[in-house]
Amino acid sequence: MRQEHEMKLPKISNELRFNVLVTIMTILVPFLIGAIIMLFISVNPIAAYRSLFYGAFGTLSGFGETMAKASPLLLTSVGVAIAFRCSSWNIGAEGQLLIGAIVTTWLGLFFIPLPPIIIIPLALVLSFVAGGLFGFIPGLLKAQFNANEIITTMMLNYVAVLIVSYLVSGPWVSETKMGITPMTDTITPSLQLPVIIPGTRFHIGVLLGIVLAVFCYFLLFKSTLGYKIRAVGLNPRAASFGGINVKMVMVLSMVLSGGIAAIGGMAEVAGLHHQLMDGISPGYGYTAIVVALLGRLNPLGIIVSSIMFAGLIVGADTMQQQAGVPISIINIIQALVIIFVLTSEGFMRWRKRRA
Amino acid sequence: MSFLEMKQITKRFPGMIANDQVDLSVQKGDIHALLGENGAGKTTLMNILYGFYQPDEGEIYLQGNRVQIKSPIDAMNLGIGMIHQHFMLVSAFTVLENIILGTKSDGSLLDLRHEREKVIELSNQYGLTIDLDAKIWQLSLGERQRVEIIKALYRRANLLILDEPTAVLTPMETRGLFKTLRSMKDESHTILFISHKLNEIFQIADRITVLRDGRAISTFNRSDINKKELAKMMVGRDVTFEYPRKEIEDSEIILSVRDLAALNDKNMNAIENISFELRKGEILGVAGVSGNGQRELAEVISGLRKATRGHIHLKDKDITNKNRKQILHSGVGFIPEDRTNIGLIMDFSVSENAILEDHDNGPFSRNYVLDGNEIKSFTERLISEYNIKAPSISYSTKLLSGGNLQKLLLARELTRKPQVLIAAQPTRGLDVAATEFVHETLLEQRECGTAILLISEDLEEILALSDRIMVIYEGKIMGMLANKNVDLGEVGMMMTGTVYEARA
Repeated sequence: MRQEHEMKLPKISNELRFNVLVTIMTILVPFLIGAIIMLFISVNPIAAYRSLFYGAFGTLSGFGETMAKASPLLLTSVGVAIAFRCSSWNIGAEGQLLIGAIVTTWLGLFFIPLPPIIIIPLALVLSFVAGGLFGFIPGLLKAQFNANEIITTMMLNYVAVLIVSYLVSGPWVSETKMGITPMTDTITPSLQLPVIIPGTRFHIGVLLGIVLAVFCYFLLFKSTLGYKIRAVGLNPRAASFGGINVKMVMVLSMVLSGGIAAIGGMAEVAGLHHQLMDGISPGYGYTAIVVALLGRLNPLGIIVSSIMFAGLIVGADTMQQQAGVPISIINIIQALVIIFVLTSEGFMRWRKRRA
Repeated sequence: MSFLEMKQITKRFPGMIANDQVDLSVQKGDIHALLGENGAGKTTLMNILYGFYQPDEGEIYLQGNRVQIKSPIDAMNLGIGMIHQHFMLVSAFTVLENIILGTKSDGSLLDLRHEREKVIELSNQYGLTIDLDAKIWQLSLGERQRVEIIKALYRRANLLILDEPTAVLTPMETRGLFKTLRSMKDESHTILFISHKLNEIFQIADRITVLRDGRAISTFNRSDINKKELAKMMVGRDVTFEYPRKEIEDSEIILSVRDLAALNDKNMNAIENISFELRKGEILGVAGVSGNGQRELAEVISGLRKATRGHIHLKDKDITNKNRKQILHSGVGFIPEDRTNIGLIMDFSVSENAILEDHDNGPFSRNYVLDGNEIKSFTERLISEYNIKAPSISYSTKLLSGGNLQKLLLARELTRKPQVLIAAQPTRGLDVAATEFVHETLLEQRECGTAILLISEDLEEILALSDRIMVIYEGKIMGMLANKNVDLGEVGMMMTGTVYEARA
């Protein structure tokens, strides 16, 4: 027996190395495939990727734009990760983000005037509460009636999208601003988040996200609640053996998840758009699922993966203009990353089973 | 000339050698036992013979001819059949359908009547009575095993491999199986019998090969060796079989169960009218074939399942249908039979599992924050006190061996100093050394005054450890006996449903 465990020792470091390797491959291989496609359409892939990187991180404005995109991705992904750690498959980050955006817009348009030091924290708290409620509903339905949360959260996304549509084209529609899509008036300046690099759209949303991600890391791995969340996620029967109230933890994970995703929406309105309009989120809540999985459901890993994904989105424009690469190549690469992330999850589970 | 000859078989898995130059020679018509601890390489060797694995080195000869067995299909064509620990049957199909499943591949229609006659003839020949039209899910594990054996015979197996066949059987079913094996032997079938139970090997085997750490240690005729020598060879050191137990006096009653009833997962009555008392420093053995309500009984007492009727008192306190957390704090410890799914979270680290029941309490957490240092020193204490083979506290639990998993569970439950300990199948699947450790630990606890409810299918274990024995069948108590001059036949009858006068 002694011999046995000595032989098993190298296995764990192998496993870690293997996981890191797989994560790197899930990013590298799609780029390699993208390069091959570029060669077919007579584009120099090295030049293309150079302009992609340059567009995302090479200039101040590009970098600022990347950071602006990273803010909603980071916050929604961290939210998704908390639910996923509990095996609550929250597909509703999109809707939860929109709820946060609605609450913030309401505060910024109709609430009594307050100084930033009060109204910004208030917006944070109210968004969290509203998003938490939006997560609570599917969480409760799952815990109490075993309703599939993938379906209920997805349905609630439509509810949120339609509420936004109704508000921006109906009761909250701007009398003065004219645009292609309906929108609201601009929110009060005291609720507008400060910009970090003047002249760019780099607002403090992403810093807020980083702070929350670090907080959630400690919550997940150093607190009793995080312990319960992970225990329920890995094995609900063993969790209840340990005296954990499984149903309550399930609901709580959905509340936290929805609340944090909603702060992503708060930051979009208060930091970037300063108004609510149709299509305020181009699907951040869905991209968040991939970003969260790519970050291995670890909030610290998600800081990296969300900035990387934001850079991919921003750099794609530059690549199209400078290297003449159609933006669809980037869509292909993104789609490939998604496919690779999802299959690598399955691949690693399969390997674990065999080991 | 040997019927089967395996020469210098070596099989490596990443990081370990499962079989190291193993030689095995089996005579025609013999019942040949492969004896060894878990992880000794018995099953690997048989899986090589059955074509599941390819050996890295070595050769196999069948009746003098070198054979290449690349898959179970090759093995079947060579007349080799294998009965696995986990039966490979389609539970919604009938017995007959399972037996003939996959044997016809020429595309013609099945002539069920003709096949039925063939199967009936076979089962009569070997005394394997079974209802051919019963669905598999309706059968007991012993009956399912019979189906597997008929299936192998129907496929004209003349070399039959049985992987720990008695693990799921009652004493009576075991006797039936041995009778079948002997009649197969009389028909000059050859049988390879994997086991780590010495007693049954002495009952049935003609020759015995002992494996240890992937090597074949030696092969003997049964008449040339005794149990003690064999055990020593298998474990590599001396082993005790009998534990001295001090008699208990009439001590105080710790746990009293009255008219308890509960449902199983299918909402059918799992236990009914269960009443017993458990005293301080007493081990009450619950004997019975698994699936007769033992799991539900343990779960109700430990707060994981609701009682539909009756009462459970811990000393003077009524703990009936209290939630799990309250039960944990009242001093009930539970070693569940399903350690990998209920007792431990396999994807957690060793230290995370060590605090599963107490992560909310000091000293492991304060103000909802876990105290890493406390958890670390606690886990290190468990690892050293219980000699758990884990290289570090952050080692992944799923990489621990079965024996070490059970040690971790025991360590966690016993460190909580329970007044009542429920141990369900505490040595199932463990090898001799780990079993010995568990037994000694339970007896130590008994000495310390813990009241222990020992649920086990292994009658020998119950006889070795218990003060009293309660036999359970279909959720009811069939009898309660003092563990003195117990008539095994009597217990076996009760285990299969015959009520017996209470004598304790």
